[in-house]
Amino acid sequence: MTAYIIRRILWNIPVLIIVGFVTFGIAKLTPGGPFDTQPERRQLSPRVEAILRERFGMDLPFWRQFTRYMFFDIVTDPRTGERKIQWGAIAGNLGPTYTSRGARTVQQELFEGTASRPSKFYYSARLGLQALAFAVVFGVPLGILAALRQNTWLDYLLSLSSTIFVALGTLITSLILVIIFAVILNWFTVIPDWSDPVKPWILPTVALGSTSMAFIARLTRASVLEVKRQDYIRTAQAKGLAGQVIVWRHMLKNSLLPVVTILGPALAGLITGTLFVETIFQVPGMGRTFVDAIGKRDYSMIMAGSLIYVFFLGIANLLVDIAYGALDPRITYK
Amino acid sequence: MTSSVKPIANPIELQTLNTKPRSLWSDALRRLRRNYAAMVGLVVIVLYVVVAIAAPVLAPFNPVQQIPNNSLRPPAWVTDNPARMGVPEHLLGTDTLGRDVLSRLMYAIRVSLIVGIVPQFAILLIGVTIGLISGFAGGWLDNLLMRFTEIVAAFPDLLFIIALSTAFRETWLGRTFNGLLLIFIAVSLVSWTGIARLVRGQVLSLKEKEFVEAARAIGVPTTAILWRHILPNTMAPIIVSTSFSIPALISAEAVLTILGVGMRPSVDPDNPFPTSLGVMLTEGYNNLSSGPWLLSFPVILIAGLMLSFTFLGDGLRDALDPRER
Repeated sequence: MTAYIIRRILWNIPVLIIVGFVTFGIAKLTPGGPFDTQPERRQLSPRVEAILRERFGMDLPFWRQFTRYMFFDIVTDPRTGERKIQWGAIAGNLGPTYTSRGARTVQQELFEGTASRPSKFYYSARLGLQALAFAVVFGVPLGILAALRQNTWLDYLLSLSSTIFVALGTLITSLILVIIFAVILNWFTVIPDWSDPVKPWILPTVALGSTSMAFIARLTRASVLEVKRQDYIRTAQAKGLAGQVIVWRHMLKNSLLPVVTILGPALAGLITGTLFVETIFQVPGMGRTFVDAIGKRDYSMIMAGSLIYVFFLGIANLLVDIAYGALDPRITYK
Repeated sequence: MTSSVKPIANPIELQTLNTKPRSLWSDALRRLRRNYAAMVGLVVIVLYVVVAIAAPVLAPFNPVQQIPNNSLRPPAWVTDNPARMGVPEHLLGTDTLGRDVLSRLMYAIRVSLIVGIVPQFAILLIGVTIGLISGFAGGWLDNLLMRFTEIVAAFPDLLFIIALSTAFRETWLGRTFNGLLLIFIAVSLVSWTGIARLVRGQVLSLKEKEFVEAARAIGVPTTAILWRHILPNTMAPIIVSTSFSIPALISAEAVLTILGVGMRPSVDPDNPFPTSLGVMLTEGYNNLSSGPWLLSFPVILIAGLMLSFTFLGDGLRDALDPRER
């Protein structure tokens, strides 16, 4: 088990490096740079641009820029002539942002916040966790309900609505929610007021979580139905156990196992979903920042976006695997 | 007394036994026809296709024609505001530039259908090839290809598509076919991993089956075994997976366009593909307060299209794999 976990963690390292390399390659292939994205605007003087490029190491060859960002670089202090190692992304240094005022780093831009102005990471993480909680808290009971009332109108209704939610996906669900609740019913404003701790979060949470919720409900239903047919349930019924005891102790405990496996893919969906859900509901989170960074050729921010998403996905999948192994004694990892 | 004796061979039963055995496909078609939701989905898809093809005939206006003093007209049945009344000529109203929404929707369906279907060919080509080779060859090649697939699957796909679309947006590639070619390529490059894994799994189990062993025993060449014996048996799950992937691609185009890196709308009156449902969703979202119908109609159409493909896919899955219920 320990060897398995270590191997899984180690496998994430080449994945991160390759994803970083491809992202870096695409970002550098993109015409223009952070200092000349708008050809119609007044350009920086060539001298200033040359200084900036040297300051950020953009005059180096491609592979040096990549290793400098990803791993480390040996820099010489211009005043003292002292040589020292400058660590890169592997040590958590995600590089300078080229678009913010002042010399802010990407990690400051993303993770630094105050009580009154929370960080971008706070908005994205809170939105993602709320959506996941919403999906599980509603998805699992609805799935169980549908399975226990199999082939009734309630089951058909729940199955149909979960099919519809899965089919529509996060984007169309978001837009439908906007039309119904912000335009027709006028319960929410289109431009959110983030000083309110509850109201602006409701629509994006539901929009982001609904597809996962439908998936979880569907899977829970199938899983409960599978368990319902098992011999030990019939044995429990035969020896006269109360219906409630059978349902809670025998059926649900065993049928929730497969549901854990879907949390990995569900998290992946939530993480990519934040990219456009944040745009539609104007959440000041990381997703919007990354999308904007691509347009602004903010190389460090683009890299940070890719690496952070892959990093969290790797952790999520690992946790799901470990949880699965811990919950099901039949599973051993080699 | 005679009634208790059962005849050994009922002539009617004999007759049914003598009929030609039904193939998997005709059997599946029969099951599909009995599936109400799938048939509704199929009919709706056919309707969409007919509208898409016949758009130049059906559309009352040119989709990019801007009619002066005609902007933001609500749908024809909205007559409560005397300053801006719906008129019967513009059944679904007009947009901010005075263009007829109904005509634009008809042309938009074209692009959305193409976006859903055309990249599937590339996705299938890459996915099936890698899955077949990986599953059939085994060993180090399988290991290598599956690791590669794993890395591509680990990519934050939407971020990758956005980055690629931005990178080549101003090149000839990004201008070809209103930027749709670039979307096709970007989407295909990351969407094949599911098909590859599916085909590999199928091949792994199929190549152990007796009929493959028999074919190998009588000296059928490997390529013929792959083409004639293994590939046809993987068709059913591939078809099902493709029908679910179509709505995903239609939605991906809309996502990209809303984020500003998708299709470029055209203002050329002769362009046969001037707009897409994604473009119309974006325009509608940006004018949400002044013209809510601009968002509502494309949302309804795109939802109908995606639901139809999903219901058809559900029906196909039930029809092709009767065990999975």
